[in-house]
Amino acid sequence: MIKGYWMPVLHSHLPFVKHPEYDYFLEEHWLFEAISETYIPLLMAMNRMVDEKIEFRLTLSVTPPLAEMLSDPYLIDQFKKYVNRLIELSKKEVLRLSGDKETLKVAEFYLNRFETIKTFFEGFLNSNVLNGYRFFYEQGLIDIITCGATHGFLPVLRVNKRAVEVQIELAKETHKKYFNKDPEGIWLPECAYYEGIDEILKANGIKYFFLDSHGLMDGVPSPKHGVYAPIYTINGVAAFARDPESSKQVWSSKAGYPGDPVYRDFYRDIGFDLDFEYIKPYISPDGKRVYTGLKYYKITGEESEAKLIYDPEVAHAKTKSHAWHFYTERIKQIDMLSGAMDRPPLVVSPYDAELFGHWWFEGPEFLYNIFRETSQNDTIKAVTPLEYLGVHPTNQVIAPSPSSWGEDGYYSVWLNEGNDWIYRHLHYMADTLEKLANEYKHLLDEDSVANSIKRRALNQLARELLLAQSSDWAFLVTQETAVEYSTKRTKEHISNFNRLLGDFLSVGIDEKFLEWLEYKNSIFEDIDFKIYSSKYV
Amino acid sequence: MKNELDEKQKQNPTDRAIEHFVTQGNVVPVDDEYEIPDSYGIDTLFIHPSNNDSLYVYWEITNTLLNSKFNDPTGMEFTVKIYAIKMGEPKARREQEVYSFEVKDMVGSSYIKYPAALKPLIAKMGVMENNKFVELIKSKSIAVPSFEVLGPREDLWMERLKDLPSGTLFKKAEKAKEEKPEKIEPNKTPDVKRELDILRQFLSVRVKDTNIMDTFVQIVEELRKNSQDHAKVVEILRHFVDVRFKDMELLRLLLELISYLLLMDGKPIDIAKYLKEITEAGAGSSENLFKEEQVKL
Repeated sequence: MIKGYWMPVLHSHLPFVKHPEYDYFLEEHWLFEAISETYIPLLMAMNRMVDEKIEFRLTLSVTPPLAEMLSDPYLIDQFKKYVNRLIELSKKEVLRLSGDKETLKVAEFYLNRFETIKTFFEGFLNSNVLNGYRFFYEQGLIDIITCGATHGFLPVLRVNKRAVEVQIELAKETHKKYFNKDPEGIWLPECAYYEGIDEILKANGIKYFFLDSHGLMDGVPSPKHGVYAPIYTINGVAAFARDPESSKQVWSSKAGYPGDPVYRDFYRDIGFDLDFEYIKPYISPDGKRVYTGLKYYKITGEESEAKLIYDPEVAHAKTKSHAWHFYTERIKQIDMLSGAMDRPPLVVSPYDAELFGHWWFEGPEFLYNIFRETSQNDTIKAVTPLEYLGVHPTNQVIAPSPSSWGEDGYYSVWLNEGNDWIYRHLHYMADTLEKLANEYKHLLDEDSVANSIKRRALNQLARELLLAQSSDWAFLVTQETAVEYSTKRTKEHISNFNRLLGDFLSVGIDEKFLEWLEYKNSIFEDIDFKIYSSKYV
Repeated sequence: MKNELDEKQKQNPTDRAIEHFVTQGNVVPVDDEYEIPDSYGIDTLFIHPSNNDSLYVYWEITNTLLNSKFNDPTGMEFTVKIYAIKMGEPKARREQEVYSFEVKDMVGSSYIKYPAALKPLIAKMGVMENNKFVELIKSKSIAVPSFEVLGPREDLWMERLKDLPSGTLFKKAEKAKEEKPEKIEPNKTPDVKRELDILRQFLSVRVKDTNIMDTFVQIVEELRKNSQDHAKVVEILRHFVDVRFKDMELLRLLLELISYLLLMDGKPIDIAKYLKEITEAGAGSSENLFKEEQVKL
């Protein structure tokens, strides 16, 4: 008998990073690592579950910038080179470690793993990760949801309503382009909610979104079922709130499962550990050491200096016991909640997808083992939001509180003294583009070379604005990581916008500059600047 | 449960995947330098909560604006005032000053500690002249209406069936009634019940916009007077559409309600009075929004 529901939600997102101007660009590796360590291992786990007839349900966001990067021919080509380099390095390592039986086993594990990933990528996925997502989406095993077009931090953008509407409308268009249907759910960027965003979601056919726990608990009126049932906003959009307990078990690097001593250590990598001349071809060409993805040690102990060699088999066995623990904790939780509810409780567990596999190497295996438990037992059923709403279409009406999943629960991670300088530019750019879109909406329709260039310039202005709006830059500045790159990226798009705008309004457009931007900042190839025009003008 | 969640929220780590990618450090030197403007030559004022107890304000004022208002604006100092918007109050008292600070720069920003940062607010920037505030620019209002106003105070539920564009609202008690054989209350016809349902939906769509309410009252009053002045009705309707042209759902409900009102026989609803009550309730508290007994039949 089903006692309750579990809704795992994975938010897959990376900012749009593409640098064809460099042969090697570290930040492009964010994508390659996420593909090889998270997206492909998760898809392989899904494939395995289908083969083994393990029933599973996952709700996965694939943000528009991520979808665009995963389909970009330049980045796909770069990824193939990246995997080939990993295989080459692993082969060298197997030779180098032939006398060290314990470490050799790990090197062989990596070689086998990278070759499997390459085969899966080129075979099952036909060299595009989105093919895998589409495959399971069409089978109804996963629900793919969208996000803001460039993960813009919507509360602070709302001063120009069109800027927010375009983030949602373009996200919807991009989802349809890659997944052949409109999205029914959304992961609001940074889980950030404000009054009125649900109206825009409703206008775009979005049926549900997610809140952090306090966004619902501080709502008006108080939710009868806490975070253990969804609610409808007054505009009729369903909101599911995060369960703090199950989140903590995985999120926390100390209290959570990923900190177990047998799991792979994230930080010890041969890119830093091995002789410089030997590792030089596999690190940054300027000689700076970087992670290669080959890590031979397990966490061992929190303060231990002498790390022990990683054993993949032991680590994978551990995921079984952790999955069992997670599963039984959910049963206890659901049993406790059931007494106070008139329906089976729902536990919503959202995580950043990239934590599974990249940061917590064994994470995909852990998920596989949880689904093995839920599939074998009928106590807890894994569901997607629409499945839940199909069974329980009647829910309380609540106005959620403004909130986000950032530190302190509101907006300060993305709006503070370190990054607030960004917003006056974003607001000006959005206001300017809206005015231009209204003004030129019908003026450039006539087919001519001059009009074509102007249209392209306006389209690129839209791309530069959208890329500048990415919440990742403000977040990284706050976290004091990659500050230089994040600041540079923001300034680059603001600068590009203003230069193009100046050209457009006065001296004429520098076509070479425009072409370069179209190639480099190529997100949303089919964008039409008219999307920024006010709807009824 | 609330306290327990609050405690867990505090413990919750804020790890994000992106941080784990960037822990590798930025090893490729970033050579490109990009120039961005310090200001845009526009008059603007922006206010937004940074947290639930702090506000961020930025502004830019141009000489063009100052020269248009003052003979000699040289060295002028400015005042930024923050107002809480109290929608339940009459228009004259709707904006209540809650904070004020002086600034010298024509372009700048500031953070303000304010314990009700998520409530409806607006900022104005101006100059103090003879102890009188001369407004130069004002911000857009934020958090209007507040989620505290939007939230129904009663046990209101909604049923949304697959593929239906909107849901059906009901109170828990009503739903229980519906499950029994339908019984028509003695003084309510099914049409009236439908009308109340439309009203509820109407209010749920737009309880917040008092301008619309005012216009709505005017339309209904004109129709009630059986006015032959069609131009007047068209003018009001056009104004209504201007005010909220995007909200076609609201327009549909409004027209549907009007049709019911015009077709209804028997005792007329004191619609103006009813909507006045609703407007006030919607502005300060939604407590009474869904109480049927307030509708006078």
